[in-house]
Amino acid sequence: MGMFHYFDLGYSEVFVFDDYIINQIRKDKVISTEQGFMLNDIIKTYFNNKKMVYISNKVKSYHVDPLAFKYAENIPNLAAMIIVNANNDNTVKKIPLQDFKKPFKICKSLTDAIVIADAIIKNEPMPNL
Amino acid sequence: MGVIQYYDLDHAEIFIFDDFLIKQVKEGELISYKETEEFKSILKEHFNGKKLVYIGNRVNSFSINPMIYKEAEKIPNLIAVAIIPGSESMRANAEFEGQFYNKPYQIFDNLTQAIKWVRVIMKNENKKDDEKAM
Repeated sequence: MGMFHYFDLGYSEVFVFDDYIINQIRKDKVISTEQGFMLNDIIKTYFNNKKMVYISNKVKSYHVDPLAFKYAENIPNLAAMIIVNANNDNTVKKIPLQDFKKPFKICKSLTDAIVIADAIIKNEPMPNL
Repeated sequence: MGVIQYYDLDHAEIFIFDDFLIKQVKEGELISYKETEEFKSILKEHFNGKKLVYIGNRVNSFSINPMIYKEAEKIPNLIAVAIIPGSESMRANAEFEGQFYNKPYQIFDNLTQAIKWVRVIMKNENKKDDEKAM
């Protein structure tokens, strides 16, 4: 398969794998559409039109501008979004999930997220984790 | 918990997860004893006795001294090795190298398959540990 990539975008670290990217956002940052542009560039470069899943590894508190969700929703090959909330961070509740019109999951570990992403990419039923 | 750590070493990139790490060796490098020592010090810092699986993502062409598998075998908390070869010749090399390693060793087509295998291995290990504790 392909090469894996790492980017330090300042506000976050991005890891590019086969069918998904993992975004690890640094503490107390607000995710805006500007960050959406940066991510979209990475998605275009490494996935072209290939279906992929965005995984946010929520290890720190951060906030999301609802417009960023609207922006992400319009990335055509972005099939779904998964948030990993291993530390049960309450700020997840403030993420405007209802505004996002594509499949959206919250899970407890990165490996769970990767298994779910795989099922979404292959159009398989959700795994029983 | 759950933070991915990244290393950009001279000879390889390493992505560290909770139960496994992914090593991506750079083009033209030779992996031998010196690199294995460097690898061991990273393991000590991040895993410190905690069980883990090694995943090798082989997209670049590099050389490996097969004897280092014997060194790797001696690392007690390194419980298994998964290799993702980028080509048929890399797959043949990985099959050959597997003969030098006497712990679980598997070749996979992609990262997701390798991670699913890690989950099974870890689940079995935890079960064994629970049985020992009883």
